[in-house]
Amino acid sequence: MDTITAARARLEYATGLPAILDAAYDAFEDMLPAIEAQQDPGSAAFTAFVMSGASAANGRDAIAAAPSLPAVTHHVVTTARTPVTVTAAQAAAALTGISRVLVSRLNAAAGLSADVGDRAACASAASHAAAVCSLLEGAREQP
Amino acid sequence: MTSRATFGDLSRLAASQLDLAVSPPAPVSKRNLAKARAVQLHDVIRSLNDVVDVMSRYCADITSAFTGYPARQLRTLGGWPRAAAQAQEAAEHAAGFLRAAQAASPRRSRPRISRAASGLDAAVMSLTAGRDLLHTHYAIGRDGARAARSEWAPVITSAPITRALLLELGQWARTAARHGAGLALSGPPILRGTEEQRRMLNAACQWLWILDANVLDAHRHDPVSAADAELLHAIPVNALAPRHIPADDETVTRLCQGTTDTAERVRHGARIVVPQAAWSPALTAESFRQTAASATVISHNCATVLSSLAVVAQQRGVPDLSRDLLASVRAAAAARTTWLAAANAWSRITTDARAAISPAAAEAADLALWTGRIAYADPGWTPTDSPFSAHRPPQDLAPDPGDLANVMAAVHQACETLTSLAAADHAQIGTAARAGRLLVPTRSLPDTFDVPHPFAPAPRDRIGALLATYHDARTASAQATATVGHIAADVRAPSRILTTARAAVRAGSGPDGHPTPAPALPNVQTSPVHEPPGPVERILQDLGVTSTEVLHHAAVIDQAGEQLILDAAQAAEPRHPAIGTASFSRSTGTAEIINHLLASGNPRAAALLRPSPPPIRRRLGHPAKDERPQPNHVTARQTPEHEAEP
Repeated sequence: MDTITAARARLEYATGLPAILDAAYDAFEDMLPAIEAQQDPGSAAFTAFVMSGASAANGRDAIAAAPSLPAVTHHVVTTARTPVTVTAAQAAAALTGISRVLVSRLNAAAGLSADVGDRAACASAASHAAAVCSLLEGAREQP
Repeated sequence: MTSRATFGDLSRLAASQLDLAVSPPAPVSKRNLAKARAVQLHDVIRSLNDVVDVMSRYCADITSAFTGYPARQLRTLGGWPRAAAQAQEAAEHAAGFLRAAQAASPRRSRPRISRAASGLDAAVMSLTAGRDLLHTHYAIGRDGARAARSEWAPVITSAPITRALLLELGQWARTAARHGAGLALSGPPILRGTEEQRRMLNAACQWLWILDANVLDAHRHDPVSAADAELLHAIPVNALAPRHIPADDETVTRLCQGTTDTAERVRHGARIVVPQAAWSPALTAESFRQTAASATVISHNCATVLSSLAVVAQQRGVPDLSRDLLASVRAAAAARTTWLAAANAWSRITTDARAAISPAAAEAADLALWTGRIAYADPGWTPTDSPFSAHRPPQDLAPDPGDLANVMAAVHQACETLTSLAAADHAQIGTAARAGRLLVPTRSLPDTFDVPHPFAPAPRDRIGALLATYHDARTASAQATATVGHIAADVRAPSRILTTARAAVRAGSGPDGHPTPAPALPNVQTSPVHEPPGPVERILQDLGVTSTEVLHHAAVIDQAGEQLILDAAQAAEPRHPAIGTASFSRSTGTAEIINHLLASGNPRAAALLRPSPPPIRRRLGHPAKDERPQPNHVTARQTPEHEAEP
């Protein structure tokens, strides 16, 4: 979960619309392999992780359409799978946490831009982050 | 499989109405009996004409598969195609005689005043409704051609189903002919002036028997299977159940029905969007992702349910079924793996349109919910709220043997839907790729790509990888469907017709397709039909003879006489190839023998004793110029023994 933790920190400390969008795009990108790594049919949270993958990709695409997103990122996106030692509950907790930050920062960022495209992108991405949060909320702690 | 009206409902109704079609005339004084019979004759001819008219339309539907074939060439075809062409010809000739008989009636302008033919009229309604039901699966395009509107359309035009329909037509024709001929040959008192009508009615019935004989002949050589007849009857009206989501207190039975309804809706939604893939704003990555994720969950739920059913089968002491169910669990799990790969492949690719969710994607999510409600114990299960919900206990899933069949049907429907979804989405993605609608975020490309836009055309390797995942999903889903379909057939689940339907479509369209060999229909007469007794046997019966031995002797005499006539007709055929039975049917006695021969379903009799065609394009009594008399041929209109009946 190091990549998720790092992405969350970067997102929390990003300032200005382009930086927030840049960090949000990369956050969604980092979430995708972390989610895929937990898609174990033997896990009770299998369904939640499958559905959340779609929402994370939708969020990433929404940000990609934002006019103020910088064309180039200098952040190295991790495509390697998260180590299997992370439990589904731990992954869900980390992903829920970063999704909450995404919702918060993107909703705030929407107010920073006069561009309707940016506002729509932020609102759409925030809704997808909220969906991830909702999907994985129940998987944070296995009974 | 469905609570909707099916073709079988209407076909069975029509058959029972035809069976009881002609009521005896209302009791009247002996003095008025002849007049009452004339009224009955008038009404039966008119109603039978309506029956044959509908049958002709059925025949035209069936032979529309041969559009473009010259009629002469059709007659040179063998087996079922020839039977179809002959059935159409026979129905048209029967209709021609009945129209002529109507025109000859002094009562032709009167409304129906007896209830003698009310059964026939009811059958007309049922047969028409049955044909209309089949037609709900088609739309007429601007070019006038029929276009499929449902997944049943290719089933209806498939070879096995057109053959099953022809066989049904033959049965209807046989029953109708029995009634009509019975009236045409009824004994005195007879009202003067009805002789011509009765003769034409009898000729029409002879053509109906020929229709049946030709169909039965094809059936003897290439039998319609029981499964195909069942499939024909199972074709539902093309009306989907309204979209709905499960309540929190649904029974397993209701959940299974909801799953079936939703599965049909998803298949319909997936099918209709394929031609729109090049331009539709609903073709979005969001839709594909939601569909693929839902399909993963559906296959996961199916595997869970099948696993529980395996426990049920084991507990009930059916180890073979349990073993098959465990194999189906593995097949569903394999489908799940491929769908998950497809869902994840969409994290690397997107589309030009965004945000919209297609109806099929929305309803695929519904199907995930329905199947999840069957699989899990929590009555309010959703993919989002209940990640740790326990599986439904096996004993709750199928407390009775009938429940197991219902649950299998729901799983079968879901698996069939996954196969359809994979095929439809694969087709859509291919079209979208060719239309340049598949993109990737520019930031996901290596720095060597210099694209000044947020999205760039998707590289070929990503498109290829995406298509490969759908190919795999289709293959694995089809395998799961086949495995589940076998079990559905074994437990007599209502969904078993899905398997027959797919096999029918694979067999090709029209009566000349090549269906897979399957057990023949057990309850259809494949040997010569001997419904009514022959003339000698009937006379003995009328005399009150009940001795089996004597009646058998009479039947043997009838058969010997008929055989003699057939042999003589065959011997005379090279000299007089166009012998018509009208020449043999000038009296009630000879007509009865010919009728009995034709009603036997003997193809040789049908070929040798074909009645002459009806009078066409002329007013009665005024032959058309193009109607050339044939040697030794007496048309139905010509009555050299005018006093004879019919």
